[in-house]
Amino acid sequence: MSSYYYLILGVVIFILGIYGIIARRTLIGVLISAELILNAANLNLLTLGRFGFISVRQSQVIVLFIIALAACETAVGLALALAIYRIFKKSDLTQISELKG
Amino acid sequence: MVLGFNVLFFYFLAFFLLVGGALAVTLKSIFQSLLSFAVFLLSLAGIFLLLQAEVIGLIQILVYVGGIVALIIFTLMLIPRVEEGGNRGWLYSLPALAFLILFLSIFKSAKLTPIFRSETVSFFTLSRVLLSDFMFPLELIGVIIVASFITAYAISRREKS
Repeated sequence: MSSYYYLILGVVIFILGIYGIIARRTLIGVLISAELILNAANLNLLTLGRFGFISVRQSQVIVLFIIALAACETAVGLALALAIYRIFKKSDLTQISELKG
Repeated sequence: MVLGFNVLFFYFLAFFLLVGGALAVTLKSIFQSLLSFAVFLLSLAGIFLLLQAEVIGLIQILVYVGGIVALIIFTLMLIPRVEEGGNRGWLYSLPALAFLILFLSIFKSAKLTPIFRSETVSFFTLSRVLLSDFMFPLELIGVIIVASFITAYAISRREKS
């Protein structure tokens, strides 16, 4: 299989994630879209490692780091979602427009 | 041309991957979008198996499907009422279109090698690379994990008053 299949798949996932980050209304939806983008990055790294740009081991170790950072990001993001709901009593991001609630 | 098992498996997984991802960013109910995100993650783990990254596929299932999706479900339980708004209008898909044009122009000028390097990477080799070449990033990631979990606890804590 050529590497183009995997790369095109990664591009489509990345674009779906960008669309979701901008167009979603709830904070948890935005977090899911950010995870989509990170997964597209993982797919690209593994593909480029297999098809001879960086070494295979290095690409897999970097993907491990990205997965760990994604877990951290989700934990902090969900805590923020809880705090925002507790302060504003609503979860629509387009209606939360003031700082220092 | 005879379609190999790999190609058929790839198309099968790519179908579920794209449908799951598209539903995850468009569905109105946040819980249903979370479930389609789980389908997306599982099929992405299958794609990782096709790329001969078995360790990464296993960790993907463990951390994402077992950890992150479960964490988001718990948060959905803690938030009493999540409004089920749809997406914003079509105007907000223009940045994604801009990225599509950017990537197409990159693809037109890219030169990629068609050689698939089949090198097996086991848990053992991966941990050896992790503890020799990537020692400093590993410790840095440990510090970042501790800091982010303390931050998450401090933000989501209920204040007594």
